[in-house]
Amino acid sequence: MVDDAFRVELSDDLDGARLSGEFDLLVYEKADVALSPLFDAPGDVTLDVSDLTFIDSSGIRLFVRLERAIRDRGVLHLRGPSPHITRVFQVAGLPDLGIVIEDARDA
Amino acid sequence: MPDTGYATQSYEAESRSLLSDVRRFVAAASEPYLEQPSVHDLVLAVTEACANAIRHSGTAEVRVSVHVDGRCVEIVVEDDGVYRMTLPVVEGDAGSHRGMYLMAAMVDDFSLHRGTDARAGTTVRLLKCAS
Repeated sequence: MVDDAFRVELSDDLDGARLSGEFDLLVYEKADVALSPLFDAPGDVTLDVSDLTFIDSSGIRLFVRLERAIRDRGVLHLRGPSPHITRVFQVAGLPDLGIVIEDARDA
Repeated sequence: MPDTGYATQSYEAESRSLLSDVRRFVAAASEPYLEQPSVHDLVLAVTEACANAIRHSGTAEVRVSVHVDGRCVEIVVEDDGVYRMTLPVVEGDAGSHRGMYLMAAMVDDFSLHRGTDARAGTTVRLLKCAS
């Protein structure tokens, strides 16, 4: 049984993070606070979402805000989403904003 | 639709586990009838409907029920609140319209009966059919 509690682990050099569990409206503030150092990243930011089991529009909203914050300095990468989450990213239009969705194998 | 015996589940709007509790209920109830990708889609649509209710409507309670008819599963989300309609703000980032769009995109059909100040109570029906 997968533990579905939402968690964020920032990378040591603050250029990315690993998200796991379920991201919905009720964890939005927690996620916003946890990812806030990345909004000042000097270049590309990579979020490993391979252990994310659910995302709703509030998660999409946070990624859109993060992309806007770093747009002048780098690109936001979302690495390793499940097939369902890949579909949500596509329906929400994230690739159209320049957010790169990549397979875990591309790393 | 013929009733298939799934009781309506009631959730307190203040509950910190409301959305995950609703997801467990909807996934378990729809898994016998839908393929896994469709279950995921339906679970996301229901999450958006419930999030909209607890975020904007002022309801104290959200009720979720499941109805099955042949190859289709219908989820009904009801609250006792008032549906707040706002115009999209071009530069804003309220996110609610993205949620409504995602909800609509994930199901085969949906309807929305808005609670108003004169007559509170919003009902969202979400239909997902086996392909």
